[in-house]
Amino acid sequence: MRLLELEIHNVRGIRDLVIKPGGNNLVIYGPNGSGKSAVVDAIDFLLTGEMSRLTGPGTAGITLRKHGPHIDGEAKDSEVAATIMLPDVAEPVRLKRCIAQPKVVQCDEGAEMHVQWLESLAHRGQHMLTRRDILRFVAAEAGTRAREIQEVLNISEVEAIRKALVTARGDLAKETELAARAVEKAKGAVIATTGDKAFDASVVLEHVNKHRETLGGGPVERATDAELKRDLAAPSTASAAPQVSLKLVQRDLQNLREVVDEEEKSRTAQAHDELVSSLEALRSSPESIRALAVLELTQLGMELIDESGSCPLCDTPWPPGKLLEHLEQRAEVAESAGKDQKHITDLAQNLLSKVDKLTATLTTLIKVLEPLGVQKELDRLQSWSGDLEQLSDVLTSPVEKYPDDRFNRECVAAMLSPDDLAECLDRVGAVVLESYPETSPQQSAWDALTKLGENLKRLEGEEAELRATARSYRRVEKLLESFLAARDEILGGLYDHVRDRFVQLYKEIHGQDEEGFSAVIEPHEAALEFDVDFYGRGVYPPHALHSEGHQDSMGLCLYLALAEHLTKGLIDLIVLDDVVMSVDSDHRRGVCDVLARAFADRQLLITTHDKTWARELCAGGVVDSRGMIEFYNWHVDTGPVVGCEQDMWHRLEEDLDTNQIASAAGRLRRDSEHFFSMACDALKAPVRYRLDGRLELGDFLPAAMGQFRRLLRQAKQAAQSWGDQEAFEALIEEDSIASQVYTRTNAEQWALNANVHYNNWANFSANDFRPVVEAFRDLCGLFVCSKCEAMLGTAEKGHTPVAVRCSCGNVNWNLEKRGAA
Amino acid sequence: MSEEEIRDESLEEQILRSMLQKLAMCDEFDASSLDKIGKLCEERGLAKPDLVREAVLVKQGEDA
Repeated sequence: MRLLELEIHNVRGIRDLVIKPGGNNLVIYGPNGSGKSAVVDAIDFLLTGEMSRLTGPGTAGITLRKHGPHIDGEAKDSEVAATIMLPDVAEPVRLKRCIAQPKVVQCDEGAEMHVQWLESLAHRGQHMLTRRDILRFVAAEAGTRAREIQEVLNISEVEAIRKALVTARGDLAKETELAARAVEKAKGAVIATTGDKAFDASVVLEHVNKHRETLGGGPVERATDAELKRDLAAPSTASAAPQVSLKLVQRDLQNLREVVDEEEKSRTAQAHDELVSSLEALRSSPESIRALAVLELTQLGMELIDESGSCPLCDTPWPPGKLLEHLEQRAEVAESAGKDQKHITDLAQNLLSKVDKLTATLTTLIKVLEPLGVQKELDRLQSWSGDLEQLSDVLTSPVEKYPDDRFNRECVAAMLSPDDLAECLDRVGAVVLESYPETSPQQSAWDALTKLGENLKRLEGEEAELRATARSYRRVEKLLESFLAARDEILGGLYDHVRDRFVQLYKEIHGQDEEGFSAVIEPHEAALEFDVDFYGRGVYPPHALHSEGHQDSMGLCLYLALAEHLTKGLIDLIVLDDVVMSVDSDHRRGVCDVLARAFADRQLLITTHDKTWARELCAGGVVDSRGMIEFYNWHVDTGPVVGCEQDMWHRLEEDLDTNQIASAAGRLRRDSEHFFSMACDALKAPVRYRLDGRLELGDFLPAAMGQFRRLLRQAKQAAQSWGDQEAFEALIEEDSIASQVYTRTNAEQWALNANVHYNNWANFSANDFRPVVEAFRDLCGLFVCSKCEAMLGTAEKGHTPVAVRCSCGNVNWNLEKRGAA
Repeated sequence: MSEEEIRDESLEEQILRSMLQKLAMCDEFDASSLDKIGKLCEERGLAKPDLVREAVLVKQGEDA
């Protein structure tokens, strides 16, 4: 996008303003409070529907609707319009936006899609660099900087994806844990049926084959639900109605009796004691408890660190990657506590297997007893089953929950090996024996296979669920891992390129001062580390040791390096709002060179309060005189008065036409003085030193002219040495013109007595003074390129001038003779 | 993909394309799950944990 014309009505400090850059660079200069930034706000508003100055920290209570219009204007009368050129659109496009409807941008028919793209890019702030942005890039915390730069590069979505993947991984990790627990419970049900103490697939297979043998079947190789009854026929005595297998009930009763067996009781008590004493040991050490809590928090914290790099708990900012490093160290310290925790979990798991087996047995037995009218025993077993369910819950998280008030040491011991059980089980056994007929060995084997089949089917289901969940978890882990690797690869490459370009631009601006300059721009986790070399003494954050001026040029270079990578290139307009105010005069020429050459394909809109700087931008070829606009005499009722630099000679003409010779003389002296001071700077002309620093036209003009002719002479000698006759003759012609013009200005007199000369001017008539003005105009013309209007300047090797050039290359005098080193 | 097309890709798209290439080399992903993830990338759904979870979820029996 290139700006051809901009119209502003009742926006901020501007009443009515029309400027016509015509797609070329524009410099708006004027004192503070003259309305320059209102132009920036207006462009911002036109492209985004917002004014970034009125948003963000410190703008509470400030709104676009209330504070965007001119103080005496209303939102409905406050609007910005522009005529722009868009890539791939042949005709200029007209855009208009009113503060009363900030979301609506009006545009020519057919350009809607392009304008939509334009708005989307502008919303990322790709078109504008303000001093506030420089601080965001240079002085910000690493995480904030990463966010700002990600926003400009349109990659904030990348961080959103990382967060989503981390969340999904966390969810699937929990689901996998639950699935693993369900498998353990299903195994408990299997061993309740087989009567074993622990689950072992080969032992289960032995049981299966034993039952199959009883039923006259051959062995199978796998104990699965599908295999259990393969090729077996039900025993002929089997009833069609569901039967209770006396043998299985007796097995269940046996399972329960085992827990009150003295030996088993002792083993359970021992396991329980070990768990409790391990827990007590852990809890008696506040350091261990703290270490465990720290470990948990640390692990959670490592997962939750986001793109800011700040602490996820208290938002304290950290340098890039440092918080993660710190948390990793803490996790290492807490590792021994982690080992203790694992030991406790294993002990709890042993007890849990026992609880699972008991629960599975009780569930089956209770079903059998329900129709038998043994209410007292049923109540006892149901109450026990309920307690065991609760115990199972606390044993699942032993460190956090076990033992609690409900499950103190004695209570749990009683629960795992109840003292009053023997009598209850004897009574149940007797009732069952009375109620159900003795089953044949074949029937018992069939019933056992049926029951095992049910339990194995459940186990197979839970195991399949666990495999699926675990695979999903591995997938999401791979997804996250691949995403992070791809992110680091792509962004790493981009940041390397941006770093190299940043260093190159910065060196161009700072020349010999910073020949060894280097920088580190590295994504670190979610932050962006940005350190710069400080005169070979190591790398430091840019705002740690460098001056404000250096920081300004760093911010500018970083922005420009990033700007080259911005997608689509739809916005070729770069607005630089007073961003180089701190760059010292020694480096302004470098900034001009970078802007004029490296960004020649972009349209620059630069504002500055510094008139000298504005003129240097003009002399440096960044902008021609038609693009120099001065804002002055701002008044709340009328806004700024706008003048154009190109009017300097026109104004002189006007003064002459109206016979205001004193005004014309003053203007000619003042503007010439400034012009030749810049010429001296550009050509490195030696100027007479004055302690009071009050240098005048009489100091600058002869010095500039003397240097000009010296360089011309040198260029002629060089051309001769190379045998370049064409260049030699062109330089002779230039020299001859220079002599004539210089004589016409009577400039020698300025060196003798400037005041006498000036006073003489003031006494001239219009007709007498007009030739002086024309002579000065021609004289100034010697020092600028007729094509790009940039001031001629020397290019140097070390401190030796080797060429005189303009910005566009139209003027290029070689100063190096053939054979010179 | 031509150089010009690559240049026109946003950084986010470049990252996702590189990620899909890496995933294609993992045993964990078959053509159907890669397709699901590819669609999420296209529809900008990868920034939504629920959709990510759904895309990687292996249903019982699918992992044989």
